[in-house]
Amino acid sequence: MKKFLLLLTVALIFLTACGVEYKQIHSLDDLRDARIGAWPESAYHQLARKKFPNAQFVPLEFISDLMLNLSQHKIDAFVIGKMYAENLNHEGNDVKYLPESLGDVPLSYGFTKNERGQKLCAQMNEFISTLEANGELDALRNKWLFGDDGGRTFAKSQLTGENGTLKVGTEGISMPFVYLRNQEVVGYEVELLDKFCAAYGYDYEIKLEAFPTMLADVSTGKVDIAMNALEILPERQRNMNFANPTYNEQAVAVVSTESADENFFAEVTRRIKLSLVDENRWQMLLEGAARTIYITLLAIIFGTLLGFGAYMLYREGNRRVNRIIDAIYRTLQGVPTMVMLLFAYYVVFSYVEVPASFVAATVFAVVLSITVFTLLKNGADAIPRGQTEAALSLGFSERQAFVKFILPQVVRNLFASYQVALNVTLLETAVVGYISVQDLTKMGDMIRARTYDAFVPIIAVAAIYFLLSRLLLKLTDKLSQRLDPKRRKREDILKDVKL
Amino acid sequence: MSNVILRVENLRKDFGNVAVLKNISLDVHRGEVISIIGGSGTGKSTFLRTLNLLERPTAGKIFLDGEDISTQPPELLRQRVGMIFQSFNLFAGLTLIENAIAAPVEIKKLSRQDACVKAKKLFETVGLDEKLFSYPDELSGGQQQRAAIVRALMMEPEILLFDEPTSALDPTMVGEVLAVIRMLTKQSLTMLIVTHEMNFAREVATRVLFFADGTICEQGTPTEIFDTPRHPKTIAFIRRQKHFRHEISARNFDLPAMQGRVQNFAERYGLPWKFILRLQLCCEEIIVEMFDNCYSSGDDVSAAIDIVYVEAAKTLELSFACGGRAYNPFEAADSLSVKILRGCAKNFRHAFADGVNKVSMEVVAASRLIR
Repeated sequence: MKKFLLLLTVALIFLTACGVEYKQIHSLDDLRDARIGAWPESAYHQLARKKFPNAQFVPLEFISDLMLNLSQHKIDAFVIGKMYAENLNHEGNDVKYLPESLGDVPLSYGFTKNERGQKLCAQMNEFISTLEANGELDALRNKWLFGDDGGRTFAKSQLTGENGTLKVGTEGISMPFVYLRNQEVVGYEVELLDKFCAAYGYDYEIKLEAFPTMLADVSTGKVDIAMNALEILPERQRNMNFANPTYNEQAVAVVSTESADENFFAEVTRRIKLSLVDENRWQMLLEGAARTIYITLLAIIFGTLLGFGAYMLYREGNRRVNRIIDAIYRTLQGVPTMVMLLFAYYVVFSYVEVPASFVAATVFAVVLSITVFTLLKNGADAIPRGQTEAALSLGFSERQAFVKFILPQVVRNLFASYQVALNVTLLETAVVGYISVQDLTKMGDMIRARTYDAFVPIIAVAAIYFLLSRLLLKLTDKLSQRLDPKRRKREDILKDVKL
Repeated sequence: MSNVILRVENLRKDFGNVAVLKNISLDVHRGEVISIIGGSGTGKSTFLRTLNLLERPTAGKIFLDGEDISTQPPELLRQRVGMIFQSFNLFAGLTLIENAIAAPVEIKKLSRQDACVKAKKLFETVGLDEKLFSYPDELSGGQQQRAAIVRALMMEPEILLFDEPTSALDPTMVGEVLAVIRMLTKQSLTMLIVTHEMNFAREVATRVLFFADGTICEQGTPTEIFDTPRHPKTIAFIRRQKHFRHEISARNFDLPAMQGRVQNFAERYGLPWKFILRLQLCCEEIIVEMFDNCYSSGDDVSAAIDIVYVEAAKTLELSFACGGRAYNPFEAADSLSVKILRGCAKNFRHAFADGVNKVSMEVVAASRLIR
């Protein structure tokens, strides 16, 4: 534990002491051959590429990554919507955006390309025109886009849902359009949607998911609407319909300003406060940790049972069944967990309404079962056949002999390996964010996306994983001690017997 | 009829293409103690294991108390037929008393209390009452085997099979295990014991089976088998004879090659080098003496040297056979060769029949050479 804290401190000093001289950018002209960060293939990326053909582009998925790269001077600038840029200063970051625009970027909602989607899209267009005409849209824009943070609130309408419930996918990290505040999704597009639903008799249900997942979900109809301040791009129009623009955004370049000298501890305290204390963001981490624990526990329980069941079936010795089990496990062993996760989510469970965390738990259960199966198989082979024969010669069946005399020895011998497998399961669950499960890692990402500070959330997430891992080890160690028959007391061995 | 507890009819067991047991038939009577002896790989252990269905017979039938055992689940048979293994096979991770009570409690549904009392009594009879709570890996091999016997007895088997119960033990522990088995023979249990302990086999058995090549080669009372064996293989096994044969088909045969083979043979059984030299000398002299007197120069020759080493008695018998004229080297005036032979061997015999001279002698270890 001491070592861990030491490492943490060293890493902290290293990262904060990264102030080096860098190129000063004053106007768009300075960016001609600069390194420019951008969301890959976003409208901003495309505009900047057209404007600065000689610049070097660095694709980065999140504003937090763009900010981190900028503060570490890995890039000289990044291009993004003006509204996002406005909000970057709110959290006390040392950045500004250049006033000249690179071009217009119309933003809107995306709809599934089917009958229902077309109808919704038409209704939305009608609704936007109405609001534009009666000035309500301007009021909304003034509040969310041009107003200050204090005024950015809205009360959800009373929705009857008489015409059904809309499933709405979003990343929830596009401030001020769609973003999380106090674990609630708010923003310009959210209030607009809310009003739309009120007007047309829908209810809505927001699903937080990763950007690529969201795009896939709206094109396959897993969600009805993608609400993410989406830039209307021709490539995207192939997979979804866009409503008329809700806002015409400007693409701008964000550059770094000279860092004001700050006391080291004041800086650390500020960043910790920003990432964990403000808006009670630590609750997000706890919630994420709870989901990670849930997935891990389900995976451990079902994975162990599945692996054990498969091995017991294998022992029955039916040649055809065994060949099938072998084939399944050999195939699964050759697939990365990540790919298996995507496959399960998009293919196996694509048409069934199953919570994503359950899908994740299933996949990790299957992965763990491979290890359990292999451990049991190799472990049982390592016990001399003689003990089984002795049990048979006394009148036990093969299965009784295995369960009563061989299995306890196998479990005892291979428990340490099993513990490692459990720990791997716990840590591997960090990838479930890809199928829009809000686990611990994902929550860290979301905090990062909101505060543009990577360091504290990542350290906090790492520390929580470390603690969970220690806890798992401690609990399983207890179990392992109970497995050692020689630790039993003589009285306990024959406690119901008088000799 | 009811006296026959176990009947084996034309039992056959193949491993792949290899026939390990060939048409074995046997009746075992209640209370019989049968020792099974024979060389390695002759099917003794396989035979015992098929009786407990640890190996499935390829063909043939086994009747227990007149009932064909293939008609019922093997578990039922095994509850009535106990088995003791060469490598003890106690359950690791269980104390001796747990080893003993597991089967009666789980299978015979004996209460734990009764089972423990019974186990304790049995452990007392084999001298292990101090070790009830010991684990198998804390015990010597002899103690483990005695515990394994208790474990088998706990099921009150009608037949007890011992598969080389002392082969994995070091010599200091063989005695304690044999003592326990000896004790059991006095309780009119039916037992089949595969063993390499010849004296023990002879002492405890009411009947001895001698196995060779996957069959019962000879059987009888211990006296019959050990004192007056009839089958050559039984004789060779009981006396622990080792054979050597070399055939000669030319007068100028490769003598050094033959002497090399003789040396290899003798060294394999640990004969002292002086004894080996004397054996080689005898071989050479008898060949010279016989060839000189039985054949004229230019005749085709045909001869064979046979050496039998009896391990039990540590005696070495040399025989020589050749064609040609009848000639007894020990009747005529002693040639130099015969003088040397008389110095190295004793018990000379000669016979001539069907155109073949047969000479035999016993090579002796102590020197009779006159300096």
